[in-house]
Amino acid sequence: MAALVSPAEGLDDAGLRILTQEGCIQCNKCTFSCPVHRADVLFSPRKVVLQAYLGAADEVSERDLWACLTCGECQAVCPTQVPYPAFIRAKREALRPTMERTAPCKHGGYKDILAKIMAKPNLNQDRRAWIGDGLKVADTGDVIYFTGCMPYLDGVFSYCDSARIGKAAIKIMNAAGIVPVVANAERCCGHDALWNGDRETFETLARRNAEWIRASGAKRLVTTCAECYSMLKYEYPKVVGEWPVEVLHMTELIEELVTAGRLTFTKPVDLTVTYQDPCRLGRHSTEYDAPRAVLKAIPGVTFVEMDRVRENAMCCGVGAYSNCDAQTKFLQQERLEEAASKAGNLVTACPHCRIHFSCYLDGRPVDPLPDLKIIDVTDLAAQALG
Amino acid sequence: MTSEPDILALCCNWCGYNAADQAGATKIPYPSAVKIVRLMCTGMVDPYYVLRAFERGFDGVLVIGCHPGSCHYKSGNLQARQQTDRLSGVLRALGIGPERLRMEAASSSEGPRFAEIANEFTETVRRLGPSPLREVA
Amino acid sequence: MAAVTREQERGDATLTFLREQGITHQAGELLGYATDASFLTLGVPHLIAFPKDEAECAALVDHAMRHAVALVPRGTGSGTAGAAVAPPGSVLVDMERVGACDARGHRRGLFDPLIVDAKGNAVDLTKAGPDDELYVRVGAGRTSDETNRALAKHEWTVAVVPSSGYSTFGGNFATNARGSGTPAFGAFGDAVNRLRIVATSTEGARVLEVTDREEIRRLAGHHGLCGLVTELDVRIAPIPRPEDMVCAILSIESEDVGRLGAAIGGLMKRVAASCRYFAGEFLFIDEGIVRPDDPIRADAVLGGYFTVSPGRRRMVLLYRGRKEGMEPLPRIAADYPDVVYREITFPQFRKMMAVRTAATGKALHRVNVPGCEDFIVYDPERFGDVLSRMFVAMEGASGRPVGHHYPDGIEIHYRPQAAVTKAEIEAAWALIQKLRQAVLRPDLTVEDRKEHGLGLALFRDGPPSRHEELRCLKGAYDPANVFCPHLLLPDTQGRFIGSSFRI
Repeated sequence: MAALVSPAEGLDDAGLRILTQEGCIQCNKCTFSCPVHRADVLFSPRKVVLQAYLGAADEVSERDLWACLTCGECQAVCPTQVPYPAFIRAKREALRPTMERTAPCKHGGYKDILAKIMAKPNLNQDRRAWIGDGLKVADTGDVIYFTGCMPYLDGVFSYCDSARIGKAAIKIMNAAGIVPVVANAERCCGHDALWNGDRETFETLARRNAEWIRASGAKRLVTTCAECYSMLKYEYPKVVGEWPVEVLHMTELIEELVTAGRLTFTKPVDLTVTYQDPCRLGRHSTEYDAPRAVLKAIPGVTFVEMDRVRENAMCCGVGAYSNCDAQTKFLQQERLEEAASKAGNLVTACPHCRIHFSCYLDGRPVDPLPDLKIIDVTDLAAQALG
Repeated sequence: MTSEPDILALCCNWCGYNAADQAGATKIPYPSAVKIVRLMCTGMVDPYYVLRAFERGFDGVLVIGCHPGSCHYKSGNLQARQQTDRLSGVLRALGIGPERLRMEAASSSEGPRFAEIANEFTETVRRLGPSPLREVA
Repeated sequence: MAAVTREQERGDATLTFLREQGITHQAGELLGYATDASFLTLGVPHLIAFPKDEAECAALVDHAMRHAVALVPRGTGSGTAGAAVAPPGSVLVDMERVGACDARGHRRGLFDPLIVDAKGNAVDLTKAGPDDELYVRVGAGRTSDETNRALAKHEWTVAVVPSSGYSTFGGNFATNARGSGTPAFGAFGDAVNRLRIVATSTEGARVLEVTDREEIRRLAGHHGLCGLVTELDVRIAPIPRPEDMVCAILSIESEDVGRLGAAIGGLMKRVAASCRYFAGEFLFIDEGIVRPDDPIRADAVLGGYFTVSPGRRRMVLLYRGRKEGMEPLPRIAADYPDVVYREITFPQFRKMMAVRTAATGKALHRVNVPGCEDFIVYDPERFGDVLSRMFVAMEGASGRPVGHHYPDGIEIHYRPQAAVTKAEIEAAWALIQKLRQAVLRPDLTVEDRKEHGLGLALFRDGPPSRHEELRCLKGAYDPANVFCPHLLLPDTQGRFIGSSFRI
C-alpha cells in the first residue's frame, strides 16, 4: 500500500494536489468500508472528494472534517489509492485557523493543551514519578524508552491504568538486560497536533524532541504507543534533519529479544485473547506481524483472530481525539461485539485504543455486551516473565 | 519582568464568588493579582481550564467552592476535589508544580476568608516565582 | 419562471414530508451527488433521501405520487449509465440502507445472512450440499463485498459478483450487471429468484413481490424506471477450494493488431467451446498503463508483462476456473506460437485484475465519455477485424480497451477520456461516433447491448426490442410515472453536460 501521506506537486490547493495525484473513480468503495459512514449515512468520503473536484475544495463541512477517524480503511480498499486521510489532514491544516472554537481534542481539549504546554521551551518535567520500585532506568544509554503522554494519561482517563503499560515495558527491558533511558526532556510526540492540522505545534515538539534524542547518543528508541511510533519513525525524519535512532514498537523489540534468547517467558498466562490492530501501527505503518508473534510466544495464551484484521481492521472509534459522539459509541459497540465473540480479552498495542475501548465499557454500552477485558500487549507479556 | 504574579480564581456561583463579592463590598483588600472567574459550580472545573490558564501564563490557579456537604448541587465540590487531586500529579510531572494549584472552600458569607485565601496564595505564588511557562521576555 | 416555482414548491413539500416522517435526508447544494460513475450531470441536485426500510420507501413513493415529484433511485452511484443522476426538481433516493441497517439506521459491517432455497424456506448453510440451489435473502442496500464476507466462513459466495463489489444488489439488478461468475451463472437478472419492489398504481404506492423468473429477467436492467427494489433473493454458490482452482494468464504481442486479433479470436473461440471458467477477462497493456514506480513492475512474475516495446501492443487474457474446466487451456494456447501461457496464483490474478480496473482510466479530472460500453462480438473469429478497426479509429486517442470473455461472446469496454473542456469532450464524442461507424455492423456480429447506456444513448442506439420492453414494464409497474421519468425522454441525452467539473 502506498504510504499514507504523499502530496503531489503543481496545484495551489494542498488538499486538491493530494487528491489529483491519484484519480478518484467514484466507485464508492471508500464510503462502504468507512466505519463512520455505517453509523452516519450522511458521512461519505466519496462525496467529499467529488465536492472538492466540483470546486468546493475551500469548504469541507465541519462534520466531514473532524468526524473522519483518519483510520485509512478507505485508502486500503481504494483501487487508485487516493490518500484520503492525507487529504483530510491537509484540509484541517488549511481550515483550522478559522475554527479555533471547534476544540478538535474531544476530551475537553486535554491532550491539545498538554501538547501546547510541552511545546514550550522552559519546561522542567518530572516524567519518572510513575515508575515504581524495582524498575531501573537511566539518564544515558543505547536504548531510549519514549513514553509520550504516559505520565499524563491517568490524570484524566481514570478508568484505565495507562502507567501499567510503561512499567511492564521497563520490566521486560530490565529482564533482558536493557536499562532504558527515560528522559525528563521528553515531549509529546505531536501526533494529535499533526493530524488535527496544527503543524506549528507538531514541528516545535518534533524539534525539541530531536534535540535531546540526538544529544543522548542513543541508537535505538522503543515506544509502547502506536501513535508515537508512527510519528517518530515516519514523520520526524521529514522535519528534524539528522535522525540517528532506529525506531521500534515494543512488540518488535520483544519479538527480537525472544528470538535472540535474551528474553524467556516462564509463567503461563492462561487467557483466550483476540487482538486489535491499531490504525497507526497497522495500516499507517504496516506492522501487523510483531504483535502477533509476541502473542504466540506467550505460554498459556490462546489467540483467536477477529474477522476484520490487519489491513481490514476496524478502528477503535476515535482518531487523534478529533471527534467523539453518539455515532462513535455505535462503532465501539460494533467492534467490541466482534471482539467479545472471539475471546474474553482484547489485546491492544496502543494505549489510546485501550483508553477509548475502556471509556466505552466504563460508560453504558449501547447494547448488551459480554464481559470483555482490555489488556495491553506489553502488559500481557510482562505477566509471563514470572 | 513583572514581580506581580497572575492568579486565576475559579469560584463557584453560590459560595466562592459570593464570598469574593462580600469581600469587595465590605472593602477587605485582596491582591489585584487574583482574577476571578465565576462558574456555577466547581464541579465544572475541567483539567483544561487549569492547564489552559498555565499555558496562557498564569502563575497560579485557585479553585474556591462550597464547604463539603454544602454544595448547591450536592457533590460538585467533591468531584472538583478529585479533579484537583489528579491534576496535582499532572502539574508535578509537567514541572509546573502542584503548589500552584489550590482548592479551598469559602461560603457566601465568608468574605474575610476569601481575602485570606487570596492573600496567602498570592504570597505563596510570589515566593515560587513566575511560572516556568511564562514567555521569556 | 412558473416551472421553477412549482419545482421549488414540490421540493419544499418533500422536505417537510421527510422531516415529519423522520426520514434521513440532506438538502442544499448537493455537489457530492451531482453525478454517478458516468461523470456526467444534469445539474446539482437539491434533495436526497436515505430511507432505511421498505416502509419508509412506500411512504416516500406515496408522497411522490400525490405531489407529482420525480424520484431517482441510487445505489452506491457506481454505475456508468448516468441513470443515478437526478434532473432538476427530482429527488434522489439513496437506497443503500434499505434492508441493510438496524432500526436505528446503523449498518453493521458484519451480519448473519438469511439463506433460503428456491421456495423461500430458510436453510442451514452448514448442512448444504455443493450443488444445492440456494439464495441469500438480502436488502437491496447490501453489497456483494459485505455479503461475501458474511458467507466466507461457510465457504460460499454470491454467484454473480460485478467488478464493483461495492455496488448494491439493487443497483446490480437495475443494471443487470455482469461480472465474475457470469460465464457460469449468467447476468445478475438470471441469478435472482425473488424480489420485492415498491411500485406505483393508480391508487397509490404498492409493494409487489415478484417470483416469476421470466418476469424477473425482463425487469433486470430497469435502471430505476420501475420502482424501488427493497429485497432480493440472490443466488449463492460454493467457493471452490483453492486446490481445485487454477488461474491462468495468456499474453500475446504484436505490432500488427489484425494479426493479434485474429490469433486471439481463434484462441478465444476454442476456449469458449472447450473450457469452463468463472472469470475470463482481457486487457491491452502498453507502457503507460501503470506508473513507472508502480510496485507491480518489480513483481518477479507479473513485472514482465508491463514492459512493452514501443510500437507494440500486448493483449493479456486472464482466466479463472476449476481445474477440470480449465484443463484444455494450456494445450489450446500451445497451438498459437505468439501466445504465452502461464499459471498464476489467485493473489497474482487479483493484482492483474486491479490493473484492469484502473485501466478503464476513470478519474475525476479526466472524464470518461461513455457510449462504447457493451459492444459484444458474438463470433470470436471476427474479433480480430473488430480490434483492427477499433485501433485504427482510436489512433492517438487515450484509453485502453478491456473486456470480458463470456461463453456467448466477447464484450468490449472502451471509454475515451477527455480533460474537462468543451473541446476535448466534443472530440471524445466524435471519436465514439467514428468507432460506432467502424464497428457496429451485423457482418462483424457486433451488437451494442447498451446496458450501460440507458438515458445516455438508449433511445438513439440501443436495441429497439429493449425500448419496447422497458416501456411495457414502465406501464405495468409505474403507471404514475414517478420513477426516472426523464430517462424515457429522447431529448434527455442532449441535456447531459460534462462541463460543470473543474480540473
